[in-house]
Amino acid sequence: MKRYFKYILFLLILIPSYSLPQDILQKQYSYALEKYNSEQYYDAITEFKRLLFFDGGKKYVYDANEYIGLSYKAGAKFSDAILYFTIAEINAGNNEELFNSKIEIIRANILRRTTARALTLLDTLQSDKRFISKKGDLYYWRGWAYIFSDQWDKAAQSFNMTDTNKTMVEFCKNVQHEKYSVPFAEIVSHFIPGAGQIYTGHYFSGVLSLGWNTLWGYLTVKSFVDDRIFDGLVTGNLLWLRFYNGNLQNADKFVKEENLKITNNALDYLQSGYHGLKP
Amino acid sequence: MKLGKFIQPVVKKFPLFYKEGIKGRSMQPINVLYSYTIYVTGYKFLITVLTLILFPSIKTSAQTDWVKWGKADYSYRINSTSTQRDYSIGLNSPGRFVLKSFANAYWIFISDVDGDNCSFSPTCSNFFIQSVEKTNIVQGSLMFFDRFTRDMNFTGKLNHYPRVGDGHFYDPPSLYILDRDYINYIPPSVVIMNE
Amino acid sequence: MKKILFTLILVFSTVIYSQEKNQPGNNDLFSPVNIKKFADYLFCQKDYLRAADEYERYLKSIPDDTIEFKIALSYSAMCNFSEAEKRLGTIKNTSNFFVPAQMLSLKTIFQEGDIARFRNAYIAKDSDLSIPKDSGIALLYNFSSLLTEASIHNEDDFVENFPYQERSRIKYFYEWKENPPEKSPLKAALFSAIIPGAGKFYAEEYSDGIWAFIATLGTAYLAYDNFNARHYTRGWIFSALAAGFYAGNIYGSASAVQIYNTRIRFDFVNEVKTFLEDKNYFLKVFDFCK
Repeated sequence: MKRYFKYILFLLILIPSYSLPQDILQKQYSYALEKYNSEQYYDAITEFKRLLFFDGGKKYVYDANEYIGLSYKAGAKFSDAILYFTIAEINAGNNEELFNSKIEIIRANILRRTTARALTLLDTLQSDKRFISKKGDLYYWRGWAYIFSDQWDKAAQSFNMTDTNKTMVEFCKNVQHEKYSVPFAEIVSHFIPGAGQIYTGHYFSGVLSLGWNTLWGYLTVKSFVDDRIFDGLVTGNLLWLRFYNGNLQNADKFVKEENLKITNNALDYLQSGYHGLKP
Repeated sequence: MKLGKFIQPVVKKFPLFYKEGIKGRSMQPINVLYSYTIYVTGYKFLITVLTLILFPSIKTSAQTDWVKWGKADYSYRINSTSTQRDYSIGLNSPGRFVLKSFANAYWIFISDVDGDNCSFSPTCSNFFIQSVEKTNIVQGSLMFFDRFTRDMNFTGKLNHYPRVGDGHFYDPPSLYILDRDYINYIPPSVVIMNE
Repeated sequence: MKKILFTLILVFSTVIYSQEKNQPGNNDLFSPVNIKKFADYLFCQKDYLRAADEYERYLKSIPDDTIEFKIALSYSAMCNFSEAEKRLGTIKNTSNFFVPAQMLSLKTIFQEGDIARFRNAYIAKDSDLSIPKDSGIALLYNFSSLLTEASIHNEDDFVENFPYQERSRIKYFYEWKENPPEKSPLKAALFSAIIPGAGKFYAEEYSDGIWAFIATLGTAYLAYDNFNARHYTRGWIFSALAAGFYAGNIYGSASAVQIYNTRIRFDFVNEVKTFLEDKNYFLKVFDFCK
């Protein structure tokens, strides 16, 4: 018995000094979590900050910072969220935590549409040997990064690299297929003024454009034929060119507007109708 | 003229003693801060660099939480920057009816199909309508001719007018009705959102 | 003997632990002492709204005028001056912070931008507390006359109110107030009437001036040319345009000068603001975070 005395003594010193405050911290953690779960994000941050302040042993430093980040994210304050996810990342205790915090940073970057940053971070993770088994996850988030930057064809390719998201592949391909082609609208408008507008369904604008261009074109040509060079130059430059240019601008504008509608409809569906993991 | 005569309205008009932004418009906070700093010294480049360096430290000083906030109703949608014309005629006065009918006809048959030729916001035709509404047909026309002249100046707009979100130069008629109380000066470095 | 040793070690270890920095003193994170510790931390992190809330929570159990003062400072730092002023008003006249609170309260009124109210409030407080003439708030009061309508009259008397090192700046502000470097819209209109665009040059809008000149003379030339060529309709159209550009340029020059005047005022107010912020409105800085 005497042999074990010093170990018992040591244990007895440890038990009261650690277990008591740890209970309080555990209680505080649950309390903060309760605030977070009941969507009181501002208060949740206060309570997680309180936990961090008193957590001298830094036991909760990862979890609390991660939850603070998640709270900011829920309030759409993505830059603040990224700041706290980064603190969590620095304090990650194992690879799993490290990966999770990095992914959270990527997701916040996707949401605030800093796509280039999200893609760079994904590249870094992809070349990291520790996360070789997470390739599918990385392609999945890469797909979302492309969706948020309106590049549906690249999104489809990325989802295709994961094994489980074939519906997303189809969805992205469909969106891409539905969209109007900017180069096509521009090219046809160069040859037939108003054709680009008609292609996007803006018939009145297209016909009007064609009408003005025909009129000013005719008058310009007629001026030159009648040897009224000055009139020809003025009509050509100030009127025909103006409306011709307007036709090109409108073709581009309408295609972008229509494509934005298609994109937004798709994004609306993904936000409310899609049940998989979202950024 | 003594400073006192105008400094009071100025202090009220430019909320410089409190950081709220200019009335009736929401601005990006960085720009407000940035322009204030710039306009104090005039060493534009140096201050721009300094402000940009200082910005992250300001950002991390918990300003987000100086107002209580809740769960955000965040939408995935991409916001459109294109502005929609107001084609409504409005029957409050015969003058407006005539003016707006002409304007609408001009917009529908000419302006909408001849491209984006006006770098200002509001556009020249809109500026004319608003000017006439705020003043009268004579003063409104003078304001329009002045605006048209300034629009021709294709080199002098940069660093001269503030911008709105879609990149057009913000130039409202209220600045030109010769009433000092309506002049709400906004430095060119500001980007005006939700104009 | 062993039992005594055990008990001692047990007690001792708990005590040592509880005295570590940031550790909960009486095992409760929401005890007043811990709330205060946490609030102080938030305050120094500039997380002022949370700090103010925590201080409020602390005040519910322990009245403390330092904390009341710090709540007001928090609101003031967040530029919520009306709330700051309200909080400062609750500090009792028996408190050590009463006088600083009164001074800070005056400063917040000033920061709200209502100079007339600030000056009236200062006079009222002065009759109550007889504020020393060399105190910071007295300097702010003197300074505020730069922002009122009335003329100051005696420059030397005014400037001498301020510490020696500030006098050159104060002199500059004084001269600006008495003789602002404004331009005359009437002059601009006259210049433009004589030479189109000249008024815009006067308003320092050089490129606009050039274009006003080109537009007016260009359309006038076209009118002349068309009349010469007996194209009367075109001649009249260009005449009308020339007249429009000419009149518009006179009008526009006057309004350009008005905008110029507003801009220099804007810059001046910015200078004043920066100067005052730099000097913390002549008041003592309360730094609770050293």
